[in-house]
Amino acid sequence: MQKPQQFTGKVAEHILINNKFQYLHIELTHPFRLEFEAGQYVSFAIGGGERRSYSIASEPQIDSSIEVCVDVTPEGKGSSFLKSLKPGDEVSFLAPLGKFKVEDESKLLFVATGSGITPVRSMILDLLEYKKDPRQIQLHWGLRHVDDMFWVEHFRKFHEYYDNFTFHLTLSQPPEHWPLCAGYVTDCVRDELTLDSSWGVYLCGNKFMIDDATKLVTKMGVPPEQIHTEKFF
Amino acid sequence: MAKYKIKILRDKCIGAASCVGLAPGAYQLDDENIAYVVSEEGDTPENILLGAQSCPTNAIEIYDAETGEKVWPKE
Repeated sequence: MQKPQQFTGKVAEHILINNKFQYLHIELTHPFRLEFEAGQYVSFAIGGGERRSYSIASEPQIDSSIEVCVDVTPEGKGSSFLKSLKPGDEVSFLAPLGKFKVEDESKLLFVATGSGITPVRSMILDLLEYKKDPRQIQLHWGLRHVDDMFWVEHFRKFHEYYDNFTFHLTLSQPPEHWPLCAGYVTDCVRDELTLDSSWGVYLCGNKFMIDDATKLVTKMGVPPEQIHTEKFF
Repeated sequence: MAKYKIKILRDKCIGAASCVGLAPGAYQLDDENIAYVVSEEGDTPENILLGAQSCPTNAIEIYDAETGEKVWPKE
């Protein structure tokens, strides 16, 4: 694994996906290659000597660029900095960082809220598309509104194509007649899954979900060392 | 003499280990997955500062060992 180091890159693409999320594709300019593991993050220099951390959304097999997806609604210094970037702008960041990585449990449950899907997307792409990992993989993703939805078709296609992958989308504020799970994502996990000590659980998103889901899966018999969290979202 | 005095805010640390990746001779994680200082001279001052700056929760404070002035995070 590459030791963390300074990288510079240029913004190749910047898309405001909807009113809540933005997507950035950054091509590396120096060094040209980043070796990382799915689930890791980068620390952007955002000016004024400050830094902000964002998980990598792209898969490790693409090592000449990174993709990130950021919630713009907090309107903090980090998301405002990223929001201001245009194609061609230069950015610098430290990478690879973090130890939120897929381990060797027999079955895998991913639970994400909002942009917490970012490292999970990298992990799932890596597992299904590249490693052809045969383990049972479940993804539960919680968003607030229909308008917040993105990458949903992408995961639905994986759900149809891969026998070992199941995708559940939950909306906490769904429209009338919403056919899928409604409420908190943890409640849907509680309703739809029975876990045991063979599962590894990967939680990424808001603190409330992480605390709630940790209690739930612990009660279901998942050992603490098999509960992996990324808490900075 | 070490250039920096390092203070870990245990209640803010989430065990992301970015500090360990950047300056393993200065930072490690304990049994509770919380960062601790191995040695304030365990890595270069640049790496020690970068290790603190890379922390996603600003759980590491860096002070100038001579003057006591806070170097990171900036107020």
